[in-house]
Amino acid sequence: MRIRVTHKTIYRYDTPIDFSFQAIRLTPQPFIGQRVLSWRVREEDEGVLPNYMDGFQNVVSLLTLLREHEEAQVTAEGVVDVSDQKGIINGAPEPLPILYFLRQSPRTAISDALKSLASAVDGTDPVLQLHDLMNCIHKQVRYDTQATHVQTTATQALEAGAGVCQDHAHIFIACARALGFPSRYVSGYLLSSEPGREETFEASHAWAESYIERVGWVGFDPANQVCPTDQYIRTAVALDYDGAAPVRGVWRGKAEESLAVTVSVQQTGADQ
Amino acid sequence: MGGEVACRPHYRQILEWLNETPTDLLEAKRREAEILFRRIGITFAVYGEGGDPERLIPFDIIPRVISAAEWAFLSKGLEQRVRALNAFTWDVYHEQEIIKAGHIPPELVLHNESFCAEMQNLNVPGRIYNHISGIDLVRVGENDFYVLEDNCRVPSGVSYMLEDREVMMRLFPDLFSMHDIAPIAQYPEILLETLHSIAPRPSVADPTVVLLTPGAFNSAYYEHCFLADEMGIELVEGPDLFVDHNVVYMRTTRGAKRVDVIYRRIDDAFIDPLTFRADSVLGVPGLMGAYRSGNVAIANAVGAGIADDKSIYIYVPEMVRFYLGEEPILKNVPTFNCDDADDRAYVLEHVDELVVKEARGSGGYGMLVGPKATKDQCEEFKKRIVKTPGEYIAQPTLALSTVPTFVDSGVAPRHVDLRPFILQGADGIKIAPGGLTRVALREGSLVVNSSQGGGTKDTWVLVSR
Repeated sequence: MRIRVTHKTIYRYDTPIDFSFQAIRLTPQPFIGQRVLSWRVREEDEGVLPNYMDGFQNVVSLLTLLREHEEAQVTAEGVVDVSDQKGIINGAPEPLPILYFLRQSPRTAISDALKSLASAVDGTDPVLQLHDLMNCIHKQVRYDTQATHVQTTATQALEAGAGVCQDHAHIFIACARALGFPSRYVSGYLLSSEPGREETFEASHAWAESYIERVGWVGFDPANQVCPTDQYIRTAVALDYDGAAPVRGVWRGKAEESLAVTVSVQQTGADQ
Repeated sequence: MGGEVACRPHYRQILEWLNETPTDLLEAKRREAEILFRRIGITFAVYGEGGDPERLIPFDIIPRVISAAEWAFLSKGLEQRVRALNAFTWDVYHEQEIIKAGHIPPELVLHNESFCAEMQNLNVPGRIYNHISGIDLVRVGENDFYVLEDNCRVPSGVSYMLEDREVMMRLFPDLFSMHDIAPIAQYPEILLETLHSIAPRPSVADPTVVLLTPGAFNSAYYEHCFLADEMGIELVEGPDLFVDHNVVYMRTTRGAKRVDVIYRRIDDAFIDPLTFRADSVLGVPGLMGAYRSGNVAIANAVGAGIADDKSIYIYVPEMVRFYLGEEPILKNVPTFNCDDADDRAYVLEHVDELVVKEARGSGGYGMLVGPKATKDQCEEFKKRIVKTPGEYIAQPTLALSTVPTFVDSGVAPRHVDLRPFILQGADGIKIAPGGLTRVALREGSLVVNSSQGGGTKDTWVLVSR
């Protein structure tokens, strides 16, 4: 599947500010099943942004604006060829030892409720266990964009019984780690099932990966109850949202920041 | 000196001097010292102790003396330990051979608060992490030193070491002429050389070094100003620096100036709000980008704290053997890890004989000295250990040596520790002779932290003739 992504973010400040900084993790990297044909992250006036590799070997683009401004327009866009690997990740950069991903993080801290959800999972086979976990979370935590916010933890989202893909992923990660599976947060893009429609939220997607002995890292998307297919583009991984967040920004001044985001993820080219 | 009878030979002249000097003259000198410290304006707290920033730490006018032979032994041990700590830090952020070889449990490193994934696979300039180390030691006998803890993050106290010497030289010039004492005044110069040696751009003859401070409210702010001034470098706060295209710049009246080396005195968590604590206003957004791109050196390195964590401490002798193929010269205090079931059982049984510490605490807070504690205090700590065992370690109390100290009742023996400062640059390891001696001023006390009634002494290393 050939997918074209155009992801525009307009940062607006209600009063002019002197400087702002944004760290942007929106660049997919190649591995088996994900071929990046073209990609760039640019700001309207600054051009293509400089970048670096973080500790997880995610590409981080940095926007530094040192002049007075009220607005910045960042566009991440490109074309990626994706093939279905049944969610199995091979050939991606793996700088950190697998055991690192059993570590708890603020958003995925374990609690009694998460533990009991994990212990209710059926099966002795690891693959089936994780599938069951995915299904359980999908059933117990309904999709609701109003129920949680960007700071919500796994424990809070489970208690609310509702959330968005970020919350589904956090709950999955916390439970999978409790079951002994090293697990991590993934952010990326999801091709809309309805062609031609411009999505704003779910096209920017998040899911989880767990490490299974003798299989490797496998993706699980509890929000959609499926392992990633050829409709998923993977851009960043970390222990939780904080490390893989698509954008993290700081600015100096008393201004309020507001974001206007449009994401278009469309099938394109020869494979259509 | 053991008690008041035995006296080590290098203390002979000090003892003679004490015998010849009337107590009221010593008292007058002590008051004079206090006035001098107030005039210098040195107010200070040792790392992590917090407290009143205007507080003056008590100064004892009787110097602590280390013989040439003892220092030769000690400095060899310190160099070895610092090398091993650095090799460990490089290893855990790269291949993790020590874990693969089974010498240290993987979780202890990988799930440690101080393990910083952002440092993974970063080739720091000169492969150096702990450019400035403060190793806290106690002496229990001839050439018999134990390391209490390693400080590889932002060890402080060196300004006290230097000012104590200044004040002593003014108070007792005669005493100095009687002894041949290794100088320490060159410390700031050597620190600057060390910082220059890690500058990432080899083509730049005169790299720009800055000292990054959290600001005037920090308890060690005096030291930050003092060192920046002594080295002739800019003292900056986060907002004075910015990162553009992965390069760090300093704002100056003549425009932006590129920065090569940052001697930072702020903690990892605050250094870059785009990577670590988002609410930090002390740091520099994007600094980790410049660091990971190899465009700036940071001393001490981000993530260096993995080597000085109290739960990692137990494995330092193992590091010396593994990386250097040597036997450790300095000893570790036997340490019980309360997270380990057997160790915990022992600690709970013998809490009244042990010193219990928080695995990540510092400054003598959250600490139980079993033999000096009440029954209630012991019970309280037992409860805490059972509740969160991973947060506690325990050690036996050591028979610390004492040195003569001038207290209200006259000259009396008091327990001391020693924090030598070890500098490690691309050009090798250099150690300021001596270090900061902290003294427990309360009779019988083993706690030297200034927050717990500790003071400092000038530390003399005698030069062999």
